[in-house]
Amino acid sequence: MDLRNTLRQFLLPSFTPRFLLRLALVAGVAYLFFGYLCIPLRIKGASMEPTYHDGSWNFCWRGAYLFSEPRRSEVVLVRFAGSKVMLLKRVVALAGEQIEFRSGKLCVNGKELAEPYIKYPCTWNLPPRQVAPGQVYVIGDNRNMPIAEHDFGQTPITRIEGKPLW
Amino acid sequence: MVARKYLISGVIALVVIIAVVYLFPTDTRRVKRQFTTLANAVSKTPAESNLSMVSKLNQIKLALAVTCRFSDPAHEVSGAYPREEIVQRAAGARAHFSKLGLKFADLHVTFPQVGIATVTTTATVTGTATEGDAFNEVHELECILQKSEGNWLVTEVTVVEVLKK
Repeated sequence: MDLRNTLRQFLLPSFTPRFLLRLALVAGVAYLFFGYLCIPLRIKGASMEPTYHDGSWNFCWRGAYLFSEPRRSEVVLVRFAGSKVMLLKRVVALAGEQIEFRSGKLCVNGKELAEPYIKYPCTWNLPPRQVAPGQVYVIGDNRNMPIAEHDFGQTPITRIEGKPLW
Repeated sequence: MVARKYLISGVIALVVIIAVVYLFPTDTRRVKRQFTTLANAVSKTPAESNLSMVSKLNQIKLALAVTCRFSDPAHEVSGAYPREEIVQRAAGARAHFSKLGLKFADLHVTFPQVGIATVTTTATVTGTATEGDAFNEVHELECILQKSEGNWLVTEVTVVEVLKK
């Protein structure tokens, strides 16, 4: 009988002041959590294939870089326009490092970088360039497209919003 | 009776507040309104008449300063253009689309000095080309507007380069 009452109370709650207060608190916490700390996002485009698929869902965990800076090989979300459009990319080089592509191979400071996450063939060539202070170099995992069609490059660390939850 | 009196007073107060906000807009509101006008003027429906097109192009012209600086570092475009040339280019660009939409979101307006406004906004352009191809672009823009005879005119537009190859 108690279980039935508890279940009934849970499914069909009476709108007591205490219940409304609890509801407002839950709504407020959910708004702050999903609006500012763990933002739901839908991935559009194939630049991170096969690691992240076009049309899939994820969350941007903004607490990731509150006390640390992005490290190499980490997947990050770069604020692209306003607060709603972000780019999902992988950090491949840090400030002060030199980056280049030689026949599809990514070289950092002249040495080829081991990239187990790259599954598709790549033929890119890009002359060496240095990552400016306060910036990181980000590229997508899908390099099986002409270099001109892929959005990548160096971006200020301040533009990095966080990292995907998974 | 007393409750009714309070209700009427409340409604009147609300109407007065709305009227004041609408009739005496702040500069921030005026600047935002200018972006709404620009977005509507750039947008196009498949059934747009020539008269409507001319009116919209005129609206674009009225929102721009005599000379407007435009820079897009990612495409190595930078320069100052007379507003007539910009309107001409806008007309040419609009002709390539059967349907075109421009939306400004996340408008952040600041006033670094009197008569100058800087605006950071997200511009989303969607459309269908006359050949039928879909078009969808999003960019962050930094704009500078100058107040001239009560109107906020766009003097500078910079497309923010987020990733520099």
